Amino acid sequence: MYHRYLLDAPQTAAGILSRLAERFPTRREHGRAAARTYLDTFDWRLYRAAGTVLSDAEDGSCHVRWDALDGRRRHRAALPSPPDFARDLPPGGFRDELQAVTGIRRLLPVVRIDRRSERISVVDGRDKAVVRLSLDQGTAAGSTRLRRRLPTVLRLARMTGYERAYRGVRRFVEEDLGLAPGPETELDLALAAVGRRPGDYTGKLELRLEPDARTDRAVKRILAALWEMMQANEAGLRADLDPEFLHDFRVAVRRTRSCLGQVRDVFDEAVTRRFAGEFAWLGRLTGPPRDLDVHLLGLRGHQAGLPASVRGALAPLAEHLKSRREAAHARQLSGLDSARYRRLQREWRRLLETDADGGGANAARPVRELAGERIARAFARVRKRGRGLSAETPAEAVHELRIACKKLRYLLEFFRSLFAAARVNAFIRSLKRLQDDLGDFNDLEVQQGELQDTARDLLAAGGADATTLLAAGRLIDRLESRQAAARRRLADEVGRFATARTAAELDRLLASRPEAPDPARGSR
Amino acid sequence: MKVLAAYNIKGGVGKTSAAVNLAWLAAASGARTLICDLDPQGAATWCFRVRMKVRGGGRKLVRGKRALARYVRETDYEGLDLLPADFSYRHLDLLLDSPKYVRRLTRRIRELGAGYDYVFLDCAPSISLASEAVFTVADALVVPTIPTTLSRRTLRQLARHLRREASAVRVLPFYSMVDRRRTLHRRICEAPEEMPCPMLATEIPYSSAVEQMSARREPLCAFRRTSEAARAYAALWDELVRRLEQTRPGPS
Ligand SMILES: Nc1ncnc2c1ncn2[C@@H]1O[C@H](COP(=O)(O)OP(=O)(O)O)[C@@H](O)[C@H]1O
Ligand SMILES: [Mg+2]
Repeated sequence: MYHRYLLDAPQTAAGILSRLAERFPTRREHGRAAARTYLDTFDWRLYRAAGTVLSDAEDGSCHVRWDALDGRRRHRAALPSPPDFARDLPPGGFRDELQAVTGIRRLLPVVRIDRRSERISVVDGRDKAVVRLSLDQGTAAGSTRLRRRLPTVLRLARMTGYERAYRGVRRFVEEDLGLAPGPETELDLALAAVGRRPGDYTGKLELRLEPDARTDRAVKRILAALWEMMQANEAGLRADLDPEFLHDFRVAVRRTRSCLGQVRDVFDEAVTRRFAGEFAWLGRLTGPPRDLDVHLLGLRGHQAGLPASVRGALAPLAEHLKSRREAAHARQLSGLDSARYRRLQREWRRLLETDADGGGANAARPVRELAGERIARAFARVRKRGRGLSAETPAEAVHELRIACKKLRYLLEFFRSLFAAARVNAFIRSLKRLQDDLGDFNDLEVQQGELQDTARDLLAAGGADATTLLAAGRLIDRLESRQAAARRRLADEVGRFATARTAAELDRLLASRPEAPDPARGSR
Repeated sequence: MKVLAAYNIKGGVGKTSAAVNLAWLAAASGARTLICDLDPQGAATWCFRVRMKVRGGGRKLVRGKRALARYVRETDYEGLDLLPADFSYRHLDLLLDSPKYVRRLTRRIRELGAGYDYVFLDCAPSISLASEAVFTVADALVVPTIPTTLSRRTLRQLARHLRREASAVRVLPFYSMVDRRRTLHRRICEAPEEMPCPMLATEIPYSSAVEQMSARREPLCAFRRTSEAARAYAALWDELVRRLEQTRPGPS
């Protein structure tokens, strides 16, 4: 626990220390200089989990710590260099808990701080510290080299067991010195200094559409948000920082295609057809590396449950996949460097930026009306595809149901702000349960196929011996039995979701109105 | 959480010196660390400049309802907390007169330790009801052993006692206050196979720097990090960490 006070001028700092020393017995501690880097994933997973990981470079080593945003300490470790991923930490609680928050995402530098701290302690009659104080001065830098000066901060840190002394010092600082505590953490101040907002990327669509807006305007806003998402992920995708950049990029592409395909007759038909074709191309371009990512991640996951000997035997498969993944990534890059992609960027942006009439028959209709129609239709299709699904249903039909669910989900996400949030959220939660099972079923299907292909490739290339092939066979068996289990669960889930009751819920949802935005909660 | 107890039936062998420095080293490595001073003499509490007083004394320690966390003091060293001693702990055995209370004390220590990576117990000498609680709660007993014939006997007594009680606690003795100029010390250190249980490889040398701790009221490692004895404590800590990892059930 601590309190922070912003000082307007550095000279106040010296004065404050001497006044404190007049009032309380104090002890000067060693000053500290640190080059500090705050780390987070691209989508701010740590910040969202009310925490922050930072790495202090101090005399040649690197102290990594994970604190709660309110200053409570979670974990520390000394490492040779800052970790790129949670898995770079030494085994133990720090690594396991961090892994649970950041998953496969890379820890990226969010902001860098150069900081000098003057430190004193207020002590008791035994010369034991009872309150710690520090005066921090420094500069912050974001993604560029440009350094910004940070305000000087007086920081009081409470020590467990000495709460009363802390209250006394705090009262002195606030009442006698007249300082007011600020809510901003060091991270907040540094982010503000370099012009970044925490949570500036989420991977979620957060739009507030007007129910009476023209459909073409509303659709352009949706498409523009999706386009922004693609742009935001492109650099990380190109640099191959972690698999989620490509994943989020592809989700945005898929949603864009879904929007063009499902919210019909908004644009001129030729325009729709042309861009639908281009985004389909972008989907094909980025598909192979993603499939290989899924396969590699899946393999890693499945391996964890296997005996060590079998795990070792599967290593050549993983190696083979990795080299295929590299080749696929290189092809993807040349696609993104092509004139075709540049033209798509240019023309798409132009379409989204014009205010001109979309040109389609639905362009001028109120968006809420059209949204309702499309969502109802998408649900009807899910019901139709789900009817009679059983353990014997061929994988193709399951696949079609999965696609139908996905389309419904996308529509709900595009237009969620037009209806009552609680209803939309509940409906999406219910749909998501079904989608999770469909996703599992599909992943297991794809992985079996991929494993067979990889094993066959490896055999043909002379890179697999009998143990590796046997291990692959064992893994395929396991996947098969898990898939059978997933299908049984699936039949239950479909029976639960594709019902008249859900249809009635959807009717109520579509008739509902969004709550008036709560002014206390701001615009976010 | 790992609980390490600095323990020996004998006093004046270097338990407190070891507990204080090992706890400091653990905290300095980034681990959340707690040291519990269970000795009514309060030498560890003294060393960290904390007032020796637990409101309610041993009774509250053993039989209290409220969590022990309220007695914890943060030391001057980042990441290192202390549960101070109280003079009333000399009557601890009277309070522990039923197995129920021994169990309760172990449970209370374990609950307190839950938020830490390492918990060090600085124990009073002797085998008592309080040490039964220590044997139950600790993962390992770190036993400072002066290389003398008598210490060898005490270590054997301890080993026998633990065997009789079928205790699962590991015993990790090390040679303490070693003076290599003395023939007896040399002879005993060079014949570890004659000891009743395997010794850790690190020895803590006899050193006047260690004695200065109680005058300065700081861990040796904090005020003279490069002294021979401080480096010996660091080596001992590294060895302990490695030894504790070895017991992990299977590869992680
Ligand atoms: N390695 C050492 N060299 C010299 N003196 C030591 C050493 N270890 C401990 N001492 C001194 O011996 C006395 C007892 O040590 P202490 O750590 O308090 O033992 P215990 O806790 O077992 O009673 C103290 O005065 C201490 O300063
Ligand atoms: Mg002692």
